[in-house]
Amino acid sequence: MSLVARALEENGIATVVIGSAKDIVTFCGVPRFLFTDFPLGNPCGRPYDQGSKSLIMSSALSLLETATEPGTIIQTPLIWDETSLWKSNYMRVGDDNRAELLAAGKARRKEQKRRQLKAQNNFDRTRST
Amino acid sequence: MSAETTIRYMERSRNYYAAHGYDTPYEWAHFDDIPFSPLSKPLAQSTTTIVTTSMPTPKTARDQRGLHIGDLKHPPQKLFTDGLAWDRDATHTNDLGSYFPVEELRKRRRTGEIGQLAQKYYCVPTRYSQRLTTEQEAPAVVASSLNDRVDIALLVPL
Repeated sequence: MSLVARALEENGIATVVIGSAKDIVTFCGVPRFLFTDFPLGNPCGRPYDQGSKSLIMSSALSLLETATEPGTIIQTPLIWDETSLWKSNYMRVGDDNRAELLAAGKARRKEQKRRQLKAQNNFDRTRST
Repeated sequence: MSAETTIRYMERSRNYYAAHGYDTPYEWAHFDDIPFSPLSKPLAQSTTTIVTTSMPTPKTARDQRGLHIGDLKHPPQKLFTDGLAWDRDATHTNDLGSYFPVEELRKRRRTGEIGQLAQKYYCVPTRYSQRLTTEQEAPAVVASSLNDRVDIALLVPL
């Protein structure tokens, strides 16, 4: 998505990336970034919460009007909850789930291989008819 | 983690996929230079579009992801997020407005805070291949947006 922002900006269209993966967006480098420290999934506001949606949109529009240099970042004051447990839980790897994650990876690779084989077979069949 | 600490998603993701048995870590895009175009006219006279990573159908969200150009004058009632990486334990995507801000833009259009909504919006898939995004999808979004006389793009990755 950051790549698209850069391409639009190179062609004269002002952009603002609105999101929560701060390290990824800033590592790429985008003209304007509005950061909210929420779990990934709701860049525009907490579900069914008009207040946060309105604040995020107002902040994004303000950023468009006020930014004067590339790489301008603003953080909204919103927080997801008081515990911040979600920050520890997301993509967690620990001794208690390591075997489960490895098994999930193996199953996924097997499924990908099956799909590739199926696609190849379909392609070969089409060519032979 | 404390409330003030921001998740380092690149590091978290590398460790997570390594635990799945993937041995080649993903290389995120990085540039030293950043392009910049100041707003060319006041917000109230500007035409705005939305670029999302969500997809128009369950199938395109799951396994047939590609660029989709939709009609922002008749926006979708629903978009799909199944194939994307987001925090399914902490939240949900049942509320379109939490990741596709068309209603919020419409309100501001009615009050005159912003000008027109663009004719088109864009669903751009997140991809392993940065080349596909850079060489195919980004140029297509740019061409369509220029044709649509877009002044502002709000990019809302999940």
